[in-house]
Amino acid sequence: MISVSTIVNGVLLGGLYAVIALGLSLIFGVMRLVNLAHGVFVIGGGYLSYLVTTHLGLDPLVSLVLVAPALFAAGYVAQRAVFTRLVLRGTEPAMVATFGLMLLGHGAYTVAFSSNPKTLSTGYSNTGFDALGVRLRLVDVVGLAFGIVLTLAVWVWLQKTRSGVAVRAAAIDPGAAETVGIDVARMYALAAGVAGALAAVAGVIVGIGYSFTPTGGIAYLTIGFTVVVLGGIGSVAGTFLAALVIGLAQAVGGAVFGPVYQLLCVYALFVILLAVRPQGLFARRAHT
Amino acid sequence: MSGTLGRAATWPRLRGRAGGGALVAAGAVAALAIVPTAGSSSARTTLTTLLVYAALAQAWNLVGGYAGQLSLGHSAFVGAGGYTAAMLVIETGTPAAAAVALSAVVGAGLALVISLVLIRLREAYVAIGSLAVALALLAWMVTWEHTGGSRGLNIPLGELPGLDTIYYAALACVVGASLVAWWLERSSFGLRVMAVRDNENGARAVGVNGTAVKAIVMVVSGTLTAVIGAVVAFNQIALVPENFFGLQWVINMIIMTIIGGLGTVAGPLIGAGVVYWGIQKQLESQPEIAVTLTGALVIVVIVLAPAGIWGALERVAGWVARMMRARRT
Repeated sequence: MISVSTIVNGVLLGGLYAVIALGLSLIFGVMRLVNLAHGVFVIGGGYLSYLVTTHLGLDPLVSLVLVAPALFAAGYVAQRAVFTRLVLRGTEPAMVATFGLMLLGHGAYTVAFSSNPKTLSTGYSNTGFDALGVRLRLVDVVGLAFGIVLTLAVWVWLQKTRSGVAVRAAAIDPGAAETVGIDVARMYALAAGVAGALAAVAGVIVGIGYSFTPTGGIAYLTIGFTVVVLGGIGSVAGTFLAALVIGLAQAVGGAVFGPVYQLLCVYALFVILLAVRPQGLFARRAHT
Repeated sequence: MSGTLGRAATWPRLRGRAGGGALVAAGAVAALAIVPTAGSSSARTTLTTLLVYAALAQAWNLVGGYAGQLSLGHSAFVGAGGYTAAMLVIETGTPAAAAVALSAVVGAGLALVISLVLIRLREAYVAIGSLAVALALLAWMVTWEHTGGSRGLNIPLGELPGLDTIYYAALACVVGASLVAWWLERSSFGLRVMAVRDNENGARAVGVNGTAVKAIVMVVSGTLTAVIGAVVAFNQIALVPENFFGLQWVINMIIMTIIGGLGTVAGPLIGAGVVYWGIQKQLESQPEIAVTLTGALVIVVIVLAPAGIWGALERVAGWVARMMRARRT
């Protein structure tokens, strides 16, 4: 049943979910855009790291030095070239385009890497250690560490830096932001780039700790949105707390009902949440 | 506009002149109706699949196009309809026709439940909420031993209707769904539906019950989709959760409708033809390239021709008509 180990592993899983959800939350919060291609970016981080590690012999975590900037550029360019003009037309055309990008990713990954699952092999994939009387996997601890560090980094960026404040201004009122000299299109691209880089980190953690397939991003997309909605739009701290809740829910659900019911528990929780409290648990005010 | 009245009557626009459209539609249905007797069995097989996709796209178009609810959960209706029909035939020996009718009831019920769950949601939240419902159903069906879990169901061969019957059932679904779409374009109810899509607060302010309108369209669409799911079940015989509750159904419904033309009667039908026959059928041996191409096509269409192929055709026709008019005067 529910042991200390279940709880601890749920929290660690929540760290990975925080990294996935931060990128989604950023794009949703800034542009009101449901990015259905976020899972494709996460998995893309995995594949890119797979290429870098096999060809250059780098450690997957070290490969982030190349992979994260690459996905930042991919997000930035995609936003500039296609999505900004669609977002200005309305949220629906842009969402449909992310849907197209998702399919494009599924197809292109299958062509390039086949549909067989891939993992990022490291010497420490299954390395564990004992703490609090529980056996922990090193990679899961790394996932939580990334979750904490990146949450803080995004919070500091949005609250304390010039560009972060400009991004928030563009999110709240693009017209007014434009009149005070903020380049809204550039802020949108910046947010999309940061979301891409966050997806790269998530993809590498997924690749080390688990495995990934071309279409595997859909499960992470749904989990990510569960976290985003639970945490409340535009709340960085809320997103992190919600990620821990979802990680716990999945671990506890799996322990109580059996491992095959893990995802069912998360989806069911999400549906109930949407029906009862769509503004999220941690939202301070509606943000329309 | 003045002085062109006679011209407009002899040079019908593609939309809005119900007479010409109805004539073309009746001709197409008549041509499709003689295929089982006149065509080869491989043509019938291909056309059955095409008709299934056209019907599904049209059913989705009611919700996604006319009501503006971008549902990502319509796979749940295909699965619920297919599984209901198969379970009825396997467990109680219900005749196929009755099983299809009862799957419609289950589809309507599921649509009502989904509407109630998503009742407070708008725009983007509808998409992710319906996606979660569909994925939850898929996860449940993979684990539920009563319906065979991940092994799924097999319909006994003795209970199956003939392939001609399945073909005509698919054709009837296309006609039925298209008639609903056609009616939405012309009825006062349809006007209310589109008002809610275009400006929900405005529509509510003038007394339209937005919640009820959206729920009714969802129930009609869900019912139709479940019936098509039952037809698919009799066509495929073996049912596994991934093939019936999986996202590929709703993905096809959306790309076909978007590429053909969202919120039009002809759009989803054209889109089904282009995507299934033009891409998927031609690249049958390389499905991953077909997926890549359709994904790219969706982006190109939404950027360059947001009204889809049908919308582009209408624009070209309008342009030609203006040129003709200009030359006369």
